[in-house]
Amino acid sequence: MIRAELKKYFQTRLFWVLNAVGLGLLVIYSLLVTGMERVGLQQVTAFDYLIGSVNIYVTSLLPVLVCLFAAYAFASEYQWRTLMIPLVEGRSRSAVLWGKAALCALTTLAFAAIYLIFALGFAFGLFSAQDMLLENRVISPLEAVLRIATATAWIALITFVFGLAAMVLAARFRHPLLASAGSLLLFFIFLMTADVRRNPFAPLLQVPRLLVQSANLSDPAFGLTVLQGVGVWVAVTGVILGVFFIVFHRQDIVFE
Amino acid sequence: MAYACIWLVIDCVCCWVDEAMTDPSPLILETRHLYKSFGSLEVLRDINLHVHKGDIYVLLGPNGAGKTTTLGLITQLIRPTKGEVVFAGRPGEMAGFIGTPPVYPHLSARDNLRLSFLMRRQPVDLARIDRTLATVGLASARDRRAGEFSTGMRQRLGLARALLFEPHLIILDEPTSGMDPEGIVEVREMIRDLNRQRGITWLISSHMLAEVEQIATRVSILMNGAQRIEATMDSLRENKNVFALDTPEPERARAALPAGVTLLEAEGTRLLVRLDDNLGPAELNRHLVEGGVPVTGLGRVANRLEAMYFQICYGVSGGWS
Repeated sequence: MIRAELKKYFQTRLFWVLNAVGLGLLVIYSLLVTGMERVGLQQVTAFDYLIGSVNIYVTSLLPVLVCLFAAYAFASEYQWRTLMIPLVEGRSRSAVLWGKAALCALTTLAFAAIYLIFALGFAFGLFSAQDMLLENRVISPLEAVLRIATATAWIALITFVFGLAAMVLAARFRHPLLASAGSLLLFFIFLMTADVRRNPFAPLLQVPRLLVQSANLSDPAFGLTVLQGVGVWVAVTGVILGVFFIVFHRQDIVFE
Repeated sequence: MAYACIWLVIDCVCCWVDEAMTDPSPLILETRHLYKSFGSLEVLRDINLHVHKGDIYVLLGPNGAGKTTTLGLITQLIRPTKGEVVFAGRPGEMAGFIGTPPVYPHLSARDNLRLSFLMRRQPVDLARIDRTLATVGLASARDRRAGEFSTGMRQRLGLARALLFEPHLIILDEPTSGMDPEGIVEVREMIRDLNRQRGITWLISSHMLAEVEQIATRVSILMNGAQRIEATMDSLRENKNVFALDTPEPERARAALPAGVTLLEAEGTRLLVRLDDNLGPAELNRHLVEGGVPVTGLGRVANRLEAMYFQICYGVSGGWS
């Protein structure tokens, strides 16, 4: 099912348009930063540029792209009536659901990876790659890139959960815009409440912050935060997959 | 003990042979007391279909009778409120579509079929794809995007997808809908040929009584969510107790009809009568001739599906032929 899902949706215009939107943001950001540097407002290193551009992308645009795409990928199956193809041929609803979940995960990674690759190219093409001082330690450009890539992958995992939520809403309401708006609303509530005390979801965002801000990642406190983050992610993903399973399994699939 | 076992085996074999003799083709699909409600609205009640291997089984009924919902229940797209569907095959041995054929509009006809291989985790067989597209008359359009197809072409693509893996059972909802007359004939012939040559069983819903009459081996008529009848076409056609009686004196003949004969229709010099099971046409003829009624013709009439359909659905007799 996964290969079929990739074949179906990586050939849609929407997939490439959304990627182009991400790259458009990268170009605009690059123009702004190089412009500021030229007039002497700011001294920018490749590391600064990467953190800035990736941060803007993963916290504002990536969730929008993923939620839109995920909602479209599920709602379009109703619109095209193609959901009946695997079901009539005897594939189980669970197989369809896992295929969609895998598509959502791979798409999220693809959106993040494509942006990151271009951002790396821009960073090292436009700015100097030099050792950087983080807190009290100097880190190499390679370590900096690895930290940013890991933080991006972590946030992509979080975004995947909201993509799944968009799919659940699309299965329930069959309207891609409504589904993606609903899921984005949840994401922004999550983002706004990340620093609220005793927020059980807080470790999820603490991990990427520590990855780019903390010099010493061998600290046991960091390991504990990662474990807490993984636990929260597994629990939330499990709940959303469970809801997805119930909504989709109980549903009468009738087409307009 | 051994003696008893031998008799048990013989008994079982006899039962099996007996069953095989009375119904040579086994059931491939059965629905048992299917009910479906949407909220408080009951749309189907007690649907019992028996599709035998090799059948061209047609669901008939007016709009809103519940044909599409029944097919939805059979294909597991819709959950039954009560009852069950039993398919005597493995997953992948059933194919088809309900309503407008599903297509991925941004992919070519070829890629649409290629996806079916990927969904089954099978290596893509392009030769088979091209062969199947040629079978349904889409060879020249194989690289065109399905979104550009006309309704008839989409029907053909849906058919091609259904045929691709030569399943045991193909389910189609109004397969000739939106097709031109040539296309309708082609599809009809294709269904019949694949049924005869490859033994594919078809379960089809249709409005087109004339088409159905030519290909169906078994029909079921639904009306207002209830099943009115399920029968083989042969038994419907047979209509063994209805006779056309030709006489130059119809009024005298009407008066002279014996007990056990029901007059169905009278038109000109022809009476249409139904005989009770214990009365044969020879006895009717003798009775009339002895009563002085000249009989110029007495023959069994074949039922037309259209007439039978209207009789069953609305209680009115259409034209007898």
